Amino acid sequence: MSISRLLTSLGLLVLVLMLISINLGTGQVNMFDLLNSDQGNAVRLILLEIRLPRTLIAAVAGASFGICGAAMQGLLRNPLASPGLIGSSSGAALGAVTVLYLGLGQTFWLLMPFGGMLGALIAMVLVYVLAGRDASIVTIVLAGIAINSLALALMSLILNLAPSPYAVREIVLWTLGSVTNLGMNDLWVLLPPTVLGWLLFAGTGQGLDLLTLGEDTAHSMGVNLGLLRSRIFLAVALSIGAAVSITGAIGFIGLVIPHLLRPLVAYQPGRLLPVSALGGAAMLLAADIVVRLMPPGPEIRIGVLTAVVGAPFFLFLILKTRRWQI
Amino acid sequence: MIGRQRIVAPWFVFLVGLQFPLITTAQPDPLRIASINLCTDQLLLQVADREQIASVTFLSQHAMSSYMADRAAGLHINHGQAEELIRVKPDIVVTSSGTPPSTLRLLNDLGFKVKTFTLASSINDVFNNVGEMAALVGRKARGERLVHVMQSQLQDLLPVQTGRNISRGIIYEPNGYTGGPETLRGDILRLSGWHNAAADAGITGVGVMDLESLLLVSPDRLVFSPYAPGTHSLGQHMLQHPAIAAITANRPPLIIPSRLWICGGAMNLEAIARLAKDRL
Repeated sequence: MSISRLLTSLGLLVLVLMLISINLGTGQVNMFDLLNSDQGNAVRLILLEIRLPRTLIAAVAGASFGICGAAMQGLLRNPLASPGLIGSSSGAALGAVTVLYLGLGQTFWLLMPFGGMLGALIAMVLVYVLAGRDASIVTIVLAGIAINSLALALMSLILNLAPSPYAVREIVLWTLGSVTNLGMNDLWVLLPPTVLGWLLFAGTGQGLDLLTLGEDTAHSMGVNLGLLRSRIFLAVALSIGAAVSITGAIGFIGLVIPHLLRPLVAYQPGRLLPVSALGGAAMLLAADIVVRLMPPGPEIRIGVLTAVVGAPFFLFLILKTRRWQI
Repeated sequence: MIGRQRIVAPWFVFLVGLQFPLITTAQPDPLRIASINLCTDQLLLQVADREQIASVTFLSQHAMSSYMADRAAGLHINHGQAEELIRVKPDIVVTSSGTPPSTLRLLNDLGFKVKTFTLASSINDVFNNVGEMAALVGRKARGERLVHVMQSQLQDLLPVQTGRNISRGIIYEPNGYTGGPETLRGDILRLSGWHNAAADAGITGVGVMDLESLLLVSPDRLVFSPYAPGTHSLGQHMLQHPAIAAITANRPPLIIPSRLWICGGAMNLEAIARLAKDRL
């Protein structure tokens, strides 16, 4: 399938999912109710102030998770690389939690993505330093586990000690993610660092393609590996940091989507980037739609759904990797 | 209405304060009561003599959640744990129905006599609880006087039917917690002349309403009891969602201090007075 056709079909899929998402919710309200002005204010507010931001944020965050997974898998040439594995998600969550619950600054809502970005960057650098430059799959996984455990422990500590009495129970929101109760303000805060991150990703395609030939070959063809690595790390920190600070850490999107879509781009990492972005957006939107189709009661967390899909996929991946290592 | 609200608080305080110096004649050894729950603290502090109060919870000394905080100053403090009462040796331990069963079991095992009060879910429950607590501490007459004062103040505050549209209010807390008609706060809301919009969403007791449901019941105003103001969390941030300000036409939420209605007692009348004053 040609790349433009793939991008168009995925783009259409995302649009369709967004339309469905806008028309779903506890309020039993849909777009066409906007035309009857008798319901008035409440309908307009539900659609434009609750559902629209929720839909757009899910799409943007999902795209970030997808593209970061693809970029990290290309950079590390490691099929298990994903924002969760390399520590960026939990680092971002830790950074955001530190800023929010400790009330750093009255305009904390603007500072939260900064906390997320800083946390993501520090966590990724730590994993990289721990694992070493030519790390095998096992070493990176171990380093990732270590940093993830540390981040989760510190996050639990901060939430426990936070002044707000509501803090402790919110650990679930941070570790399993949620896109409910978000508003347009959250979208405006999410967009600038995300767009910046995506722009940084946009220029890395060629370098990643050359990297598949091996580090030395790539170097001989003019790829500056150090620069590529820094650029991708920074892009991941920006986009994941911002996304996680708004939605919490949602796992498995960055793992599953690149794998599913890689055969469709003839295994070229460069082309996989935009394709994974759209695929990630579609996956998170679909998960959020399923969340709202669940029977009424305590809300099922979106991370639970991505895990239910992603974890079996992860097992399948491990088995596939074992088979190749005969 | 404004003058009315100023009268309620001093009246009640005067009356409650007046009762205590009268009890100076010889009495049998007073019963010593320990309370391990904020709401029974409030009842105890309103009807018992100071010598009768063996222990109250630490929360009763916090002005934010305890109306009787001044009166609780200097009393023995507990944290709801059975082991703290061993030294205190109360004759009766009072608590409310929310106490963990493990605590109740432990208290029984330690040989304490325990009386559990049902948490008030209406103003009538409050009258009953005040009477019951007064009977328990042997001050039945005082309890009856207090209930009588509360009832007459309530009569004075009951809204006149004017035929206007009744204002729609809703109690809304972080994470969407609200109270329906069958809760104390819901009853207070009703008695002060507001329509409880949570009832339109089918909520009867304590319930949760998400933002969309909140918007669809179109409240005129939110009623809010700040708890730990100045702290931050996602749940608290939810209350600042722009849609909430929009649906209430930017009217700020009505602030009713927690201490006035988180527990049943004479202070509920002040909550009713404040809510009645701010009716649209």
